[in-house]
Amino acid sequence: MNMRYRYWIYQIVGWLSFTYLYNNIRTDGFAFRLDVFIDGEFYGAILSGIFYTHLLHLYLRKQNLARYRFGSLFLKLWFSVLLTSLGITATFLTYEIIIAGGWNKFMVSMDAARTFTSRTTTFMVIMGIIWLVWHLIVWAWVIIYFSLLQSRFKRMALEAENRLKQAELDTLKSKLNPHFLFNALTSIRSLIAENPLRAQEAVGELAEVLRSAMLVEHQQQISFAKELEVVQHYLAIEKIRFEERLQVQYEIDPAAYEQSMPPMLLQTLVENAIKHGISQKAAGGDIRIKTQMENKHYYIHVENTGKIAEDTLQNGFGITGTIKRLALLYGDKATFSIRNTGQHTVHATVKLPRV
Amino acid sequence: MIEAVIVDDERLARKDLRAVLQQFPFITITGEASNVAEALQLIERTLPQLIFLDIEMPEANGFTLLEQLKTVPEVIFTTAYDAYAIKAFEVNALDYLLKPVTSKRLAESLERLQEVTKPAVQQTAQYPELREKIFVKDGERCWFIPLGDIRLLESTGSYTRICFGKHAPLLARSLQAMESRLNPQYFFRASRKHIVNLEHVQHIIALNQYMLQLELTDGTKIPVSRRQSILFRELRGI
Repeated sequence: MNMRYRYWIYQIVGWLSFTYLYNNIRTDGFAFRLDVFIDGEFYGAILSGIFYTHLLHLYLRKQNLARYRFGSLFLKLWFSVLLTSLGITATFLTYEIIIAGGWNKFMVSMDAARTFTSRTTTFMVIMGIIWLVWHLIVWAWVIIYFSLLQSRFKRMALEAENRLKQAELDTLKSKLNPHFLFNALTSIRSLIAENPLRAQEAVGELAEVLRSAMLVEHQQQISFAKELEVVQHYLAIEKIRFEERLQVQYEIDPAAYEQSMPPMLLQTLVENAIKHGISQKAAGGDIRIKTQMENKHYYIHVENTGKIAEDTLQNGFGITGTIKRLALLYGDKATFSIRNTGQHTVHATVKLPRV
Repeated sequence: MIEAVIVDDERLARKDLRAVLQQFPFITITGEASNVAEALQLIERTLPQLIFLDIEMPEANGFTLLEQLKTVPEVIFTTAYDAYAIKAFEVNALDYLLKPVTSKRLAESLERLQEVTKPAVQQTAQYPELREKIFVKDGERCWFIPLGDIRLLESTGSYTRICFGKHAPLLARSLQAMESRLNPQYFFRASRKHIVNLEHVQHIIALNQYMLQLELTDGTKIPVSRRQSILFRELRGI
C-alpha cells in the first residue's frame, strides 16, 4: 500500500481508538459507551491529536535524522515531543476556558480542585501534569511512528549515503583527469631538455596536485587557502604547455583564506576554464580568480576568456559531480552558476556559507 | 632529402618532434606553424613534401587545413590522443604518430613514407599532376584522393560530389572552383553539372548529330552538352 495512505490510516485509526479508550476510563471502571460518537468534543480531541502529531511528522521528515548521533538525536526528539504536547495541552486549555465562559470563570473552577494555597499554583500544577501526560502519549506516538517507519528510514539513510558516495566518486573521476595527467607528462618531457630545473619543479607541482586529488576521498572540506595552493600548482603545470597563451590573475580577499570549501571545487572550475576557454583560442586568454566576502556567505568567481555554448551550459559543464556534492553538503546554502558575460568572457560563481 | 614542416599549436610539442627528428638527417624541417592560418601561408610558400600535422588545435583543426590546401603533400598526423578521427581513414590511410613521439615509431613511419614519396613537386607546372592528392572530409570519413583516381566531379549546388573507386564523398566547394584547379588536358567539362576525367572514359557515344555521351569505366553515362560536344569534337578531332 502507498506509504502516504498508510500514514493517514494509522493516524486516524490510532487517534480514534486512543481517544475512545481515554474517554472511557472512569473512576468506576471501564465502560464501552457509544454516546461519545455524537460528542463534538470527542472529534475535536482526535483532530487536535492528529494535527499536532502531523506537525511533528512534517518536522521529522524534513530532518535528516540519520545524520545525528544518538545523544543529540535524543535531545532533538525530546524537545520536539515537548513542543508537540505543549501544543495539545494549550489547545485543551483554550477549549476549557471557552467552555467555562472566560478566564475568570475558568479559574473559579480551579478552586474546586484546590489543594494548594493559591489558585495560580493549582492551575500551574494541573497544567504541568496534563502536559507531562500528553508528553508521554506523544512519546508513545514517536515510538510507534519510528517502529512503523524503520525500514523506510533505513532505506533513506542508505540512499543518502549512496548519493554522497556517488557524488564523491563523480568528483574524483573528474579530478584524476587522465587528459591533464597526460598533457602534464608530455609537457614535462619536452621541458627536460630545455630547462631541467623547471622540469624538476614541474614534477613536484604535479605530485602536489595528485596528492590533493587523492585526499578528496577522505575530506569533505578543506580551507580555501589549501585549495588555492593546489590550483596554483595546477596552473603552473598548464603554463608550461600554454606558455604566454595562459595569463592568470588573482584577487583574493585575505579573509577568504580561512574559509572552508569542498576540496577540488575551485580546481574543477579552473580546469574547465582551460579546457573550454583558453585551449580553444589560438591567442589563449586570461583566467581571473576572485573572492568576494559577505556577512554570511562568500563567493568564489572564476572568469575566463572564451564562450560556452548553450548546450554545454545545460549539460552541467562537466561539473555535475561538484554541483551534486555542493547540494548534499550545504543544501540550499550554496549555489553555483555559470554564464557568458559579454562576448568573450565566461563567468562561473560559487556561493558558499562562511564559517 | 625530404622537406617537411611541423604544424602544432604547442611550442614544446614542436620542439620535441624536432629533437626526435634530428636522428633522421634525410628530413629537413623548413618551417613551423602554430595554427592553421600560419600553416596555410607556410605550406603555400615552401611547398613541402611532408607535413607533420597536429589534429587538435584551437579554432581550426588539422583537417580544416588539409581541406583548404589545393593539393596535399604527404601527411603524418601527430596527435595526443588516439583520436576517433584517425580511424576515419579508410582509403589512402596515411600514418599517424601518437605524442609524445618516440624515435622507434617515427622510424617506422618514415620508412613507409620513403616508399611512397616522389621527387619534389614541380613548382613551374600550372596544374597539379594526376598523382597529387586532394583531401576530402565528408562527415566522419576522410580520404586523400589522387587526382588520377577521380572519375567524375558532379555539381550539387555549392557542393561537389567526387566519384572515385567505390566512394562518392561531398566536397564543400563549387564545381567552378574545382575546375580552375584541374588540368584541362585530363579533366573535361562535359556540362554545367559534370567534369569528367578523360582517363576514365570507356566509350564515346554519339546521341545524335550534335550531342555526345561519355560512358565511364564504372558504366556511368554522362551526357555532354551541345556546346561542349562541339568543343570535344574539335579537341579530339573526331
